Amino acid sequence: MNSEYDYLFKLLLIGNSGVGKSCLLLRFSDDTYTNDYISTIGVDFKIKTVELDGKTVKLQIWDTAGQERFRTITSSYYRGSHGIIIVYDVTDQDSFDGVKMWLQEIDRYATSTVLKLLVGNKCDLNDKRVVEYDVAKEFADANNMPFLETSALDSTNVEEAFLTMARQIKESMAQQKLQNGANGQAGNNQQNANKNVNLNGQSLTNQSSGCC
Amino acid sequence: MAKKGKRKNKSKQSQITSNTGTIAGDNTSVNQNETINDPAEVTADVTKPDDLNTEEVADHDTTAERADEDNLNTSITGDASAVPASAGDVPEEISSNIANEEQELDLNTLPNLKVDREVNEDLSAKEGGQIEAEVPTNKLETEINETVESISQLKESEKGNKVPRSPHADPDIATDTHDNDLNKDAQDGIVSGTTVKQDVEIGKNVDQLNESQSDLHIDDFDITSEDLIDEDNLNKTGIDESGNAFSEEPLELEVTKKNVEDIGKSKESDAEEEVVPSQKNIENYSLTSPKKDKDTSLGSVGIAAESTQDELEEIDFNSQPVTEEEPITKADEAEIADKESHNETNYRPEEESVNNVEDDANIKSNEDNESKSVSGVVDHDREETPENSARPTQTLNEVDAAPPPLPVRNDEGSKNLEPAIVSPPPLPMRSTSTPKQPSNGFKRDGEPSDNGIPNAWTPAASLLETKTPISNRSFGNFENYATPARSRFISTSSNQMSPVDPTIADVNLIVNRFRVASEQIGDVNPSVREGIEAGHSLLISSYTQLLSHHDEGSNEEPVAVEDLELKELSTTDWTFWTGVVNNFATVANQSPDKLEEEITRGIPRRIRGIIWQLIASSKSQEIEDLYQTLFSTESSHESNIKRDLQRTNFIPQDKVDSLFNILRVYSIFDPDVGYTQGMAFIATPLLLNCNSEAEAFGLLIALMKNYNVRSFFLPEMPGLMLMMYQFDRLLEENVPTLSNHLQREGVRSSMYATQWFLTVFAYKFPLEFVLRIFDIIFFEGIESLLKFAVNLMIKNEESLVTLRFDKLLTFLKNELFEYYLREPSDAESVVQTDLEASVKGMSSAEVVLDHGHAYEYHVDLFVRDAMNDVHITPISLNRYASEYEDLHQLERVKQDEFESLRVKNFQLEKEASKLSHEYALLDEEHISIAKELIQYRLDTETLLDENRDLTKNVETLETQLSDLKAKQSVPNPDAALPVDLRGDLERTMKRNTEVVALNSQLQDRIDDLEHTVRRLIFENKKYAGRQNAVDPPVGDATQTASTTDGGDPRERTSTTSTLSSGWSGFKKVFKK
Repeated sequence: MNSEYDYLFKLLLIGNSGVGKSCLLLRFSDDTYTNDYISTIGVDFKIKTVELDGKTVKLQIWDTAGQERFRTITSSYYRGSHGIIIVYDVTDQDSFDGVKMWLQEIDRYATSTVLKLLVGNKCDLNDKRVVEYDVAKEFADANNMPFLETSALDSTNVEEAFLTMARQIKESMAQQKLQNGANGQAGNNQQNANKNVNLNGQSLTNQSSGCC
Repeated sequence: MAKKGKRKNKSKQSQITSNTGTIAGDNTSVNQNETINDPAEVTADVTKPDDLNTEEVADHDTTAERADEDNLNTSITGDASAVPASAGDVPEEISSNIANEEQELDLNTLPNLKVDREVNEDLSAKEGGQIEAEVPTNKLETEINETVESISQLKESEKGNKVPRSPHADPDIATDTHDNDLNKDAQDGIVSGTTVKQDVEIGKNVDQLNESQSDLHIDDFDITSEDLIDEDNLNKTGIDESGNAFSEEPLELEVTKKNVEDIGKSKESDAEEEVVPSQKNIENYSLTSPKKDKDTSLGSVGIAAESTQDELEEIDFNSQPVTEEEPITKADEAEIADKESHNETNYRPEEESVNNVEDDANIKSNEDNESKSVSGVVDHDREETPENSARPTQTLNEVDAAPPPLPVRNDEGSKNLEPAIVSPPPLPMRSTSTPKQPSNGFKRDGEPSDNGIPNAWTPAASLLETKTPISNRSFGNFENYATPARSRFISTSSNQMSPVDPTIADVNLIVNRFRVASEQIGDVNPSVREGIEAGHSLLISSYTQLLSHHDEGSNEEPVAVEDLELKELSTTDWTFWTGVVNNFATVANQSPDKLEEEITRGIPRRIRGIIWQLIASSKSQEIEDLYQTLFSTESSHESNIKRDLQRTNFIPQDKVDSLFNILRVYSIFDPDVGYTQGMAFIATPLLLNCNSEAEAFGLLIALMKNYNVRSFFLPEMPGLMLMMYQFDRLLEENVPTLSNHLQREGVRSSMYATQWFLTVFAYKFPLEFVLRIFDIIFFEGIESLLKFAVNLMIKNEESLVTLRFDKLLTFLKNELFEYYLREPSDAESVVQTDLEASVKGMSSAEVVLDHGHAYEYHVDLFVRDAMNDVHITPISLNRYASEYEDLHQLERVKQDEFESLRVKNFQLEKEASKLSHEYALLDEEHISIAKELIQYRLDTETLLDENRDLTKNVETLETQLSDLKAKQSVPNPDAALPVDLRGDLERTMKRNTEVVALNSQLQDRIDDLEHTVRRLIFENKKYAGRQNAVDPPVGDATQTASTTDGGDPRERTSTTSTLSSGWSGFKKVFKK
């Protein structure tokens, strides 16, 4: 259907207010950085196309307002996403403590197959750091998600973060496809058929990859 | 505008009245010299004896016309052309009408019994004058309709009736009638004595009036036919009829005003006073002729009479909405039907109003803006009455007094819900107002205002004060101050507003907003109100200072001022703004059109802050104190706020701290909201236009509480969600194609519009846009955001429809306002646009973005488009709101359900996983068991096999054994042989024996032979011895042998015979 890309992944950036979600996204999509980016109201949106293992992957990234009050609006964006990046600020303990809450949000609003990634931003501010890498890493491992420390300021790991996410999604999609195929063979009588339809409806990716 | 309106009215009137006027001229010898065409003049002449009467007469004509119109309408049934033709029929109808009227009159007369004698006397005196005036009209009519003799007769009789009516028309009464219409409720309670008198008068007049009406009907016929042709007017009236009495009333007032004007022309000296009475008369007329309602209204008249101008204002107010309603206009027939029904149900004053409306419509047929004309009339009056300097001031004061009526209504509406329910649907307003005592008090208050202080809010204040006893809220608690107002606002906006004054408030955002605001002020405690008033006066004084400064400046023609500013100054209608500052209520009531126009052009930036605060009533000492009190308190949101300060648009570096303080204090003031992102964007423009933090804080509070912006920032953001829904619906309605496209692309309004509404467009839009939007919001309410949003979508529809999801969103977020981007500003285009701007009264704004590029936008066009191209009415918004409420309710239920299901699902999932785990365990166990079993089976099998093998072995062994045994037990196999052998033996034995026998034979033979041999030897020896001795020995042996052998002598013989042959015989034997 869309010849310009092989995959379309929808990513969601969540995390407490002021942890640098927008800056992260801005660095990734435009490779720029501004210190006084205006606070996000509601949701923002950026597109970035990347190459991944020889495939063109279009990333549709939704940036959300971090304040709790905006959850009414942002919660509806969980469901459609393939991957969710939880961002915290390594210089802000609260933002790291909030990660748990964000995980709950994901459990609550996102599909169960959604992929997660933990990102500790502002790692350039090492002298102000309050969240140690090891602690975060341990936490991430315990919750079954990869972890990266990034800096939108000096663009450390920014690209990696998004690519990690994309790769993860791609792999899981391939798996899912296999599973779906297996399921399809196994039993058409089962309601798996319906589930598959839903999944396809959710993600353009399945369709487009199907074309390829 | 007002002046134009007046003129138009006049012309219309002249046209309309031409019939009556001519008639009057003919009949009345009084003023034959004067121009017949000008009814006003005629009436004036007639009235000379009695000023009041003359005025009344004029009114009579108009009212009569109205009444006729009603009749006509019924008979005509919407066919304008048919009207004149049906003139013959008319009389009958008229007569019937008259009869009805008479009956009605009788009814009316009942109250008259109570009438004060004095009043009656006065009336009679007046009537005399009026009768004269009426007579001419009748004559004219008769001339016109010669064929209809009966009609003329009727008219004559009517003339008599008419006269009395005019007397009723005392100015006080007239005003009262207006009031009555507006506040029928109030009238009942208040009227008491005065009303009774009026009623009496009315009753007396009623008969006359009926007659006059019949005459008038005839006249009206002509008029009505013309009127009918004007579809717009008809439609409007129709709407009014169907909708609300209020709207109709304005029309009546307008008519009266027209009359007034005419009168004023004729008699400049009396102008104002006369005018007022005339209006009153008209109203009375209409009231009296149709029904009982009139009586009630009349009763109230006495009370209300004082503030005719107020009434006028109100009327204007109403009239505007009517014009707006045009699109809604129904068929003429429907209108007629309504009218008829009204007539039947004499109960309602609406009929009268309807009639009036029709007349007005006729009159106004040429007019573009009815409302404007009305306002113009008022002005006109002022102008025309130059005689007394005092008078104009009075009028002004009266005007000032006008605003109160509106709040009164609202209050009444809210207070008197019960009566509203009881009363028939069309008249909820009036019925609700019945109990109004406050209205009296209020009007009386209005008089003092006449005496003097031109403060727009004083009347309101007086109203409030009258009400104050009702509200017991303690002032000390600020929460109380804020919350009741808010809740009230919500409830009124959704529920009570429509009953209060559906036509106007439902159609005009400004009016709606004004009502809500005044209501809110009404709800506030007196002390707070005082604070607000003080704030007002402060603002006003600062305004006047500014203005005087500006005047000086303009006198000096300062070179330093920027072109833009200069232009702004030169194009600003300072008198208008002064009016707004001094008396906003009047302006809002009286000329909302003008107000809308001005705010569309933008509030002059110098006074922007002042105007905002005035309109929002945000400035008061209370707020300042509150601000100072809370200033020192710590807020839990401080870190959040701090983080966002730099991340807010438009905030200059030196104001960052102020912004912080305002937001911080607000977060303490309103803990439910606290600080929510987006508020900084709203606070910034406020801060930029205020002199102090406290002022900006006050504005912020006003916006949040009174304008209900607060609901945008509450948890769950209910206000935002509602607005989003309204926006979606409006999109659907206004640009269905785009709406479809967006839906297809999966673009939801929450993706882009959230930012608009939460930040009042400050998120991405240039500051100049935002300020102008704020201008509108303060006057029209936060709902006007929708206008801008929808307008932007409309204007960009073409581009948007071609875009796909990604670009669509980007465009929606960043490029919408570029529609209003100016062409690259080379000098020429600037000049040109400036020219355009000056022609159109537009100014261009220059917006400098961070990058240093200067973009110029057609800000004026932007606002103008939004205001003119997008029509949003409170009523539709309310409808959407209730829809949303329903949906939201459903959604909430669903969500709850979903939530519970989710929890349940979670539990079940847990259980399921547990079970599946257990199952897995069991399964494993099972498998192992099964494996074991199989193993056993296998083992058994092999064992069986082995067993089988072994048995086989045993068997073989056994057989072997048995064989062996058998073998062993079996006898000697040679046993069989002996038989054979025996045979053999026997044979052998036989043979043996045979052989032996043979042998013996042979022995015998041998012996014989030997014997023979020996005998032969012997003989041979005997012969050899004989011969040689004979061979006797030999012969002897042989002889012996032979003897031994047998004794058969024959054998011997044979032997001897056979000796020679012996040998052979031997041989033979052997051979054998």
